[in-house]
This record gives sequence, C-alpha cells and structure tokens, in this order.
Amino acid sequence: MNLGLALAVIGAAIAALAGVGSGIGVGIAGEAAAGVIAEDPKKFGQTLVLQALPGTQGIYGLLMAFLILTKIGMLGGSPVDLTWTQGLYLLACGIPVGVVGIFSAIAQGKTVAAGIMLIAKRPGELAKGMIYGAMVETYAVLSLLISFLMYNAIQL
Amino acid sequence: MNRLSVIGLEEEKDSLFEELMEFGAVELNDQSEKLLSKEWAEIAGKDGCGDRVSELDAKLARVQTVLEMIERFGAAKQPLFAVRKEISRKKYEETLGKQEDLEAETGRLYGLYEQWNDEKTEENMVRSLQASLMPWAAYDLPLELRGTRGVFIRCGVIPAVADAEELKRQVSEVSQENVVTVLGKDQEQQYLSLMYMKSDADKILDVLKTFGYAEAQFKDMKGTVSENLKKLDDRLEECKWRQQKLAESFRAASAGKERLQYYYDSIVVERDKQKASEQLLRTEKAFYFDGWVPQKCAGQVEEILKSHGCWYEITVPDKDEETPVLLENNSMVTPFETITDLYSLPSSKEIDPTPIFSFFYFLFFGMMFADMGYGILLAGVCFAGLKMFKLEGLAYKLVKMLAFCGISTFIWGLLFGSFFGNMIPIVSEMFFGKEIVITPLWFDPISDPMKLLIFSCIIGGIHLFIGLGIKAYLLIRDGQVLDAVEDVFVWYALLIGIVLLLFGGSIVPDKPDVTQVLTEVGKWLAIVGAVGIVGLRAVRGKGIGRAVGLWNLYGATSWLGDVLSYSRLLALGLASAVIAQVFNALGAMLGHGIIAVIGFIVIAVIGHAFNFFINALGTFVHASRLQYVEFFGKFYEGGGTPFEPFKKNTKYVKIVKEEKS
Repeated sequence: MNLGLALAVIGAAIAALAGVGSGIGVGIAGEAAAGVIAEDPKKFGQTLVLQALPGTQGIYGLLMAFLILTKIGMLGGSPVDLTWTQGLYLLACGIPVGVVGIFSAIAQGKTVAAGIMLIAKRPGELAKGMIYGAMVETYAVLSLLISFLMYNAIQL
Repeated sequence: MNRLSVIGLEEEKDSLFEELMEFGAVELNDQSEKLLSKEWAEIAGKDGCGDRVSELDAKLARVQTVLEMIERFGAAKQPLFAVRKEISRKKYEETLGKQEDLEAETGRLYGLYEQWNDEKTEENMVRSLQASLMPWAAYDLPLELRGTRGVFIRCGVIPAVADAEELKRQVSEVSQENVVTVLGKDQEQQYLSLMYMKSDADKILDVLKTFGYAEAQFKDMKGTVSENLKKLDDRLEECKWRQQKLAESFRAASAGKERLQYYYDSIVVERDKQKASEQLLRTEKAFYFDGWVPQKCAGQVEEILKSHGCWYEITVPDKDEETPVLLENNSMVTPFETITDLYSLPSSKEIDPTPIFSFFYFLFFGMMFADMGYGILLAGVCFAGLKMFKLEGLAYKLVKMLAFCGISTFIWGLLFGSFFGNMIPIVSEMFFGKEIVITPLWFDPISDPMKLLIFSCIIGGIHLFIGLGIKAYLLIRDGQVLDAVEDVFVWYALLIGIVLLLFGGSIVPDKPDVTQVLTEVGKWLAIVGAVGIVGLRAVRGKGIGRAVGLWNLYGATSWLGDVLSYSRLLALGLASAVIAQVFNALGAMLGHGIIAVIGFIVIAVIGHAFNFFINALGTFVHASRLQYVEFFGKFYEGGGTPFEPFKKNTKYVKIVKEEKS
C-alpha cells in the first residue's frame, strides 16, 4: 500500500458519500409519504415511485466508487502501483459525484416530498411530481457523467 | 370533433339515451347558460331530477361500503389489476336478479356494517377506560368508598414534576393523622391516594392546591380497580367476539359479492343516465341537447338519431372554438399517448405531438436502459401482462408502451453488447472455466463514452430541431409566416451555422478543402441567422421592443443547456450497465465451485432485480423529461379538455354484445 493507492481509495470513499444525501433525501420523502398513506393507503404505489427518486445519487456514488476500486485492483486482483499524482487524480474523480450527490439528493428529497403532497391532493398529477424531481436529478446525472469522463481519461 | 345539436320527442328519450350510452361517443354540454337568455327560458326548462341523482348516490355509497367490508373480510384475494369482467347482457341480468332482493341484501349487510361500527366504538371506549384505570392498579379500596364517618378517602393526581415527598411533609405539618401514598407515576402525572380527617380537610386542600393537585374522577364505578379492569377485559373480549361474528357474516356474504358488484354497476349506469338528463332542456313533449361527437363516429350517431325520429344537426366547429380533445393514433403510437396524457392533452388548436415523439421516446428509453436481459424481461413481463389481464384505458397503454420500450432496450443492448451487464463472460468463466466474450454490434460505451456522448447530443439536437419545426408548422398553418421565420427559420440558420463553424472540421477531417467550405458556409449561415434574429425584431417591433432581438439572441445559450441535457442518455445508460456489472463482479468474487455458483445466482437475482426496478423507473422518468422539458418546451402548450363521452362507466363488468350461438 502506497500513498497513491490510499488517495485513490479516499476518492472512492468520497464518491460513495453520495449515499448520505440519498439516505436523507429518501428519508424526507418517506416521512411525507407516510403522512399521505395515513389518509389514503391506496396511494402507496404512487408515493413509493416518488420516494425512490432521490435514491439514485447513492447508486451513482456506488457506481463511481466501484469503478475506481476496480481500476486500482482493490476488488479481486492485485493492487496497482500508483504514483501519488495518479492517486490524487482518481481522488478528484470521486469528488463531483460525491459532493453533488449529497446536496442534490437532499434537495430532490424535498422536491419529491412536495410532489407527494401534490398527489395527495391531486392523484392524477404523479407525472408532474416526477418531472420536478427529475429536474433536480439532472445535476446528479451531469456530475456522474463528469466523474466518469475524468475516470475514463486516465490509463494506469 | 364535430358539434351536435338534437331535438327529439320526450317519449323516445329513454330508448335513445340507452342506445347513445351503449355507443358511448357523444359528450353532452351543460345547458344552464342557455336558460339565462330569455328566448330559451320562455319555451324550455331544465330536465332531470337532482333528488333522484342524490338518492342514487346515497344508494351507491351504501353498496360501496358493503363491498369494501366484504373485500376486507372476504376470503378472496385482491387481484393485482382491477379488470372488468366481460359478460353478456343476458347473463348479467340473470345474475342481477330481482331489484328488491338486492336492496334487501344491501340493507341487511349495511345493518351489519353499522353494528360493526358500533362495536368498534365500544372497543375504543373500553380501551380508553382501561388506559385511564391502569395507573390506579395498585389501589385496592373500592372506588365508591369516599370516606368513613370521620375520614375522607380520596384519589388524585399531581404533575410528574411535583415533589411528592415535599407534599407529604407539608400535609403532615397541617394535620396529624393522614396517609398519603404515591401509587404510581408516568411521564405526565403522579397518582396519589389520600386519607385524612374531615376536620383537617380545608387546610390540607390548601396545601394540595399549591402542588397542582386534581381529584380523580371515577364516575359511577363500583368495586376495586382490579375488579373493574377485569370487567373491562370481559367486555373487550365480548366485543371482539361480536366483531368476529360480524366479520364471519361478511365472509359468508362474499359468495354474493359478484352480484353486489353488478348491482353497484347498475346503479352507476342509472345514476349517470339521470345526471345526463340534467344536461337536457325540455318542453312538455320534446327535449333538446347539444354536445360533441368525434368525426369518425358521426355517421353512426346519425343512424341512431334517425332511428329515433330526432331532428339533428352536425356542424364543424369554428377554427378558434375550444373543443374537447380525443387523441386518435394507430396501434403502434397509441401506447405512447400515456406520456401525452400524463403531461396535458393538446388544446384543440394544437396538433397531437404523440406520433412525432413516440419514436424518440422508444429510442431514448432503450438507450438509457440498454441491456438485452432487461429488455427481454421488461417486454416479456409486459406482453404477458397484456395477454393475461384484459387491461383497459391508461393501464393498458402504459403496459403496452413499456413492452415496446423493452424491445428497444433489447436492441440497444445488442448494439452495446450487454446482457445483464457482463453476465455472459463472467458466467462462462466461472461455471465452465472458459470466457466467452460477446462483441457488441456497434461499440461498448463503457470503453468509449465520448463517442456515445457526441451521438447523444446529435440525437438531442435533431429532437429539438423537430420540436422547433412543429412550431413553424403551427405558425404557418395559422398564417403567421413572418413569425415562423423570426421564431424558427433564422434560428435554424444560426444554430446550424454555429455547429458547422465549430465542428465542420471534424466531419471530414482528412479533406481540408471540404472543411474550409463547411466552415465558410457555417460562418455565413450563423451571420444570416444572428442578423435575422436581431433585425426582424428591430423592423417588426415597436418602440423599445425593437431591441428585444438582442435579448433573444442571448437565448442561444439555452440551446447549449438543452443539447447537453441529452448527455443523460449516456449517463443513465452507463449507470444501468455498470451497476449490473457491479453485481456480477460481487457474485464472481465467490470463486469457483458449487457453493460459489449458488451464491452467484442468489446475488445475481437480487442484484439484477434491484437494478432493474431502480433503472426502469429512472429511465421512464428521464425519457419523459426529455419530451416534457426539452421537446415540448419548443412548441407545446397543452391544456386541452379530454373528450368525456356519455357512456356506461362501469367498474366491475363490461357488458358485451350477445354471442351468436
């Protein structure tokens, strides 16, 4: 284990931190959903769809962490010898998806919680609630894209 | 959509309405506005009877309650999808039987429901009594015993924060003989029993007051607390037993559930008919109504009207008139109406965007999900669902759309060489010790993401340009050719010009002369476009509005955002592919051997199921978003009112024409 490898592992850890945001986001949405279900249990399916939306940031984070760990050979295989510059580079790869994931998932959680309230009052408007959530998600998708393009550009 | 006005004889009304309802292609308009004009009000009045409607509504509510109770306690499982049962009219009427029987049965079951409600109230009351007595469990004197000749016996509470020891000390200070016991304590209160001489009562009460003491009320309860609790337990038990009996009655009634469902539907039909007649105007012998009928059904409606001796008129509405909207598409496109329905129907002045975007939806969904395995799974499940359940309406469209999207997912999976991620190489290596690699038909986006990113943006650009083109079409159709030039064509020139200027070199990289021509053409196109955007506004605008063109030109930056938004086609595609690989890799870590194989299968099933659901949802949402925000943003307004024909809106049965025997 050398410094480069450690830095790259930190990068993977940062990427996986997106799960913090997803946890909070899904939690916020779940609270709102439970309130709606108390009134009308038939809406379970609809609220679940909305609640699942902020969960994706955590998955993107997992994805990036996994990619980094695979590239440096930490998952099945032997760890690659990294220079510390390479390690730092891989650390940077984890940052966009990790940091953007945390905040966007929380914001998305609030948005879909509002969307859940929307379908409590107007059951036909599920699609609009979802689209509001998807507007927030865009930035998580973009950060995943940037993380991936950065990751993809380096050959070890 | 055509406008329909009808005058007919009152005696034909019932049979005509029965037939129109059966046919289900006429929407009735509300007539109350007409009655405001004197001309109409003098000769005609409103038909229909509001009392009858509310009476039927009340009946409907009772049947619904009864059905809910049967469903709640009944043995039959709820089906996954609510599907209307197809049944012939004869069978339907046979099952329905006599009206009086049905009413009696509903009445009986509704009576049971009321009893059940009473029992629930009783149960709640007993439970709250129990809860209020619980803290006193340690008190073993009879509750009705309030004292002896010289002594008061009392129970009471003080707040949880009060100091009970201090209270005891102060009480002892003002009286010599007393017994104060703390029976218990919870988060809010402490429960006290007190015995003191009647002669000391005033002084002691003064002390108690300073501690926030309140006497406990036991109403008319007799005997000790434990006796009372026992009695309540018995009451609760009995109540539960009675509830069980009632539940059994409902379970027993579930044999007649289908009949009650038919009854429910028959009331709905009757109620709707009554409601419809509220939309009529009538004189003594005749009735009048108007409404809408879709063009293709007009002929058949005419036949019906003729056979009932009605006078009618079918006219084409004015161009600016708002009409109800009914989407009509071929069977390939119809499923995608789901997406339009979920957004907002086109207004009657717009065109239906479904046929145009359905292809892109198909394309985008497949790109973002892009896996042969998931595609087979999605299409298989959806087609099986369509086969097994007779779905109708939105559910049918949605499931069929997803089935199509499954096909698209499969195709893109084939192009990108993905089958449950990289399952084939992993499995072949793990199970058979020999790695089989499937080569993608096109390329593997994970190893060359830039290629797919560029492709995504190009597809996106085409999508956006088509959206803009529709705007031009609508403007030209309405005779606003100059608007079309200003809002659309100069933009085409500008955007195509910029693209050629920037990327003209990479189209044919090895021919510098072609590159030069392309760049030159791009430059001039961009200039023409920009001048058009600024110049047309300057010519056509008034006052300060002449400068607005400059601001519009700045809008070119939003195109950058719009096009980049399509990068999600790549990103989500990567997400579903890489997560699938993650699960495969996790399974593969187990190594070789029987146990590893079993472990791999378990991990793969759970992992891929998870990935499938999360990504199918994400893909559905984002494919919709690209239509709603990017595509519709270019031209679509929506806000149309759906065409709601007067028809048999049944919930449980669908009466089909008599089968020929």
